[in-house]
Amino acid sequence: MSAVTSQGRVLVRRTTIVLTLGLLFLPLAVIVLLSFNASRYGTLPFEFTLRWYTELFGRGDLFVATRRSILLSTGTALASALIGTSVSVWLVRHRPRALPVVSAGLLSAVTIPWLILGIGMLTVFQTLGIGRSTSAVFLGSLVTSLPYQVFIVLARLRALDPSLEEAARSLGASALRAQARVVVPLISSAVLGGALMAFTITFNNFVIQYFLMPFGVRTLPLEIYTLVRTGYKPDINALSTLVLLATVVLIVALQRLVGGVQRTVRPVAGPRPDRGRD
Amino acid sequence: MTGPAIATRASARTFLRDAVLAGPVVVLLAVLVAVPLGLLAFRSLIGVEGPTLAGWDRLADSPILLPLLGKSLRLATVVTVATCILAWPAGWAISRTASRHRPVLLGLVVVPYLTSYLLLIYAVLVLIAPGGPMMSALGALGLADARSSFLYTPRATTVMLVYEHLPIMIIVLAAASERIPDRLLEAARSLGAGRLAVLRRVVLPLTVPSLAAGFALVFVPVAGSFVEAQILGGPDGLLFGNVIADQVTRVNDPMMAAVLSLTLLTAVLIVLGLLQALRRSVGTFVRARRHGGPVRSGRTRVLAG
Amino acid sequence: MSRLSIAGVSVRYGAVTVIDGVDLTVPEGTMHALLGPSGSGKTTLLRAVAGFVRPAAGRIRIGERDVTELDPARRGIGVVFQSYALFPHLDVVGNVGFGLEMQGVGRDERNRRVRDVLALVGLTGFEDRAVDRLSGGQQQRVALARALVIEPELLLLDEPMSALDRKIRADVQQELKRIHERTGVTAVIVTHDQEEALFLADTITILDEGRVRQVGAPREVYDHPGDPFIASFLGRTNVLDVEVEVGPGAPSARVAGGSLELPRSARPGRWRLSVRPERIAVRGRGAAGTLAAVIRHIDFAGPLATLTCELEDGTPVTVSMWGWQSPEYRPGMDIGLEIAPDSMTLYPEGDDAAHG
Repeated sequence: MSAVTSQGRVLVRRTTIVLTLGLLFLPLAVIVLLSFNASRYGTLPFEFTLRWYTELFGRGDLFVATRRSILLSTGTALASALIGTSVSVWLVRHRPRALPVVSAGLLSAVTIPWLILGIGMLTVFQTLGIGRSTSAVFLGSLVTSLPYQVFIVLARLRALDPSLEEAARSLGASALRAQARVVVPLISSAVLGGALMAFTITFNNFVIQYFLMPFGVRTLPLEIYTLVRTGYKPDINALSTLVLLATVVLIVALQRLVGGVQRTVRPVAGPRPDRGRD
Repeated sequence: MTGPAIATRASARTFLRDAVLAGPVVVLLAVLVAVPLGLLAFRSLIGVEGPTLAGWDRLADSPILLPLLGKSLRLATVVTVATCILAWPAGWAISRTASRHRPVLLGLVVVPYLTSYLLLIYAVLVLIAPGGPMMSALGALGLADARSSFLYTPRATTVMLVYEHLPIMIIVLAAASERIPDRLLEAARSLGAGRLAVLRRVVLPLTVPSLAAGFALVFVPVAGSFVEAQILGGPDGLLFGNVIADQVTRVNDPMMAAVLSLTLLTAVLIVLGLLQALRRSVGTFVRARRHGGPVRSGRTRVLAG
Repeated sequence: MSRLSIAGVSVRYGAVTVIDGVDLTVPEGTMHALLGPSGSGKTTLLRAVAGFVRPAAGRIRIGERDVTELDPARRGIGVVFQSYALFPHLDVVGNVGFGLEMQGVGRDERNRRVRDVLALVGLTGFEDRAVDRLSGGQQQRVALARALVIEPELLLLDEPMSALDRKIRADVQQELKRIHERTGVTAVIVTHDQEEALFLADTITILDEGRVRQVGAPREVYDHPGDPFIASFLGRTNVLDVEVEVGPGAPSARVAGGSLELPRSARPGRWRLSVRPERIAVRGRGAAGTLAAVIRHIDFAGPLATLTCELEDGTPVTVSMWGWQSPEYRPGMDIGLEIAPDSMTLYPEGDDAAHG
């Protein structure tokens, strides 16, 4: 292959990537830009202002909804980190045979459209006499976040060389101490990554909140849903810009924690020991 | 003498360990995934005056409902195929960039996917609104009337759904392409395969399994979508999902909500099953071509992610 | 430093018996190799000694202590794993000092002992290095240092060289032998590499299908393998079916192409005769006491060369010689093969050489 064609190929690749990213970011870029535009109706010419941001912070309803969403997502993230990690440890260490059943359950939580899952959950909560409530939303969000938490932690646990724990044991560590000194540090970033993922999913899970939140109690997605139906809103532009910013920060964190996985996960050297064969 | 006592204590401890470690997740999955489906089945057969098949009759007799389901499934197919076609070049291109740039690119790609999709809907609404940035630009170029727009038509829903699911498809296809090393393509070329043959005989068969996963990841949520159509689709844009949601939020008819939910779920599962069968037969076909005989295909899961 | 004794140990995984009643004693301060093909149970036996698998039957003693039921943490062992199992989140000092930390050894003494053991394995200056920034050989030495620094009564090595290049492996084997001599720790090494076992070990156990096939010093098991399986597993060998005749002189056997003088101890009957390729000398055709043969191939491999010959009835015989000697010979050449009686081992017919 000549240098010319390979250079041409690189150019084609770059163009493809730039065009696709442009397409993906076009609507968002417009919103970000308009959030600094003075016109109330999004019309040009562009005139810079921070007015919509100050107005945004003056709006009690959006502030309350955002705080509610953050609280809900934080709660879900913590709970999912806790029970998702323990079930992963259980599946890897104690009951590998339960793996197909549990992962089928987790996969259903992803496969069944949330519309149906949400309605089904609502039916259960109504039957139990709980009905629409914040705790219902919390549990529903937890179920939809758990698959991500578990699959991330499970992958990391399975990539761990089982000899690491044995090495710690042979060096005099008790079973508990081997977990604390070797396993926990090595999976902590995956646990945190899973929790961040759970946070993101809960924060944006409109459908579950739509069906399970009590009427009148609004999370951020529900608030936006109510506002968006009435058309253009400059303060929503400002809000979207902030949410977008938070998402970018979150993704950078996620990549540091889970994307950099290979470095921390890869057994330090040597082939994986062939268990059972010998 | 103490044998049974020890055994009991040991099994009690095992039970406690299982309960603490796995209990919460297993109970949650049972109560909020398995039970709801059972309860929906039950509710679909219970009317105001007791057990009845009225709900299912209404579904069968309605001149609107089943055609609407067909429309939703068609839309989901169109959206998925369009997403695939749009995502493939970018996925392939990203997989061929230097590995240190890849996380950055993939990170950028997921930004819209992890942003609240209500914000995405809003952003698209603003972008394509009559007199909005896109229509103004098209108007300035003389390609369209700046005052008009396809907002509030079914096409807006389609565009939105493609836009919304493009990132995940790019991720899936980039991951799949990454697993096809350049060496493999060079090997195929060295054996005399033309560009098209490389695509058909090497790239495609190796991408199909991931493509099936990507297909499921887009098809399922699109088939169950309703907010996009509700906000962007206008009066003609109603989807099956809207009817289901309305049974809960407006009509308050639990029986019909259950009937329609189960109908959609069944349809989705059938499509996933077909996909699985297709993937398996393609896998067998590829292996058969390779080994010159039919080979039992490995157990595979569509939704491996 | 204590002797290891294993008595009647069996290990079962479900219905499969992986180790079947193994008895073994490793004298204090020696290095013992567990050698066997894959699936022979050698790693499982090592893991039973380490306490990672519980035997279904039998006792394991280290020194005077019965450790059969003991937690791995309290057995006084050091283990070098096949994958090294270095803690990726700790640096070299963190890894090597881990065991001392678990024992509650104070920081100053810990640092001193870590420094000493790193000097022993030749890693001075690498203290703060992240373990994934080390070469394979260096990682191997960190693993060894980590196991040695806790001054174990017994050092267990599970295929420690299998991840290393051939050339580095030879260096590390030398190094390991030197370190073992310096520390005098009782050691058990699992390997499937017969040369490694012969080079490193004071005694070797050959395992097959969970049973002990032979125990002995390297010379002993190499020169007098217990059966044709061991002979062919431990290096290469030629096996000839012979009919032994005991006449007035020394016992002898008629073989295609001549007659062989056998050891005095040979008894009449049909036997299988095993002789190593390097114990066969090439002479001129017709020389006294030789078998007539024809050279078919000559394979030169640096220091050594291998001649593939054929007796008159077509039986193949492999002969090895120094590489520099090989240019004297050509394929097709008629030669005589001389086999000294003391280089032969006789097995009763029916021992299965192809076994394993």
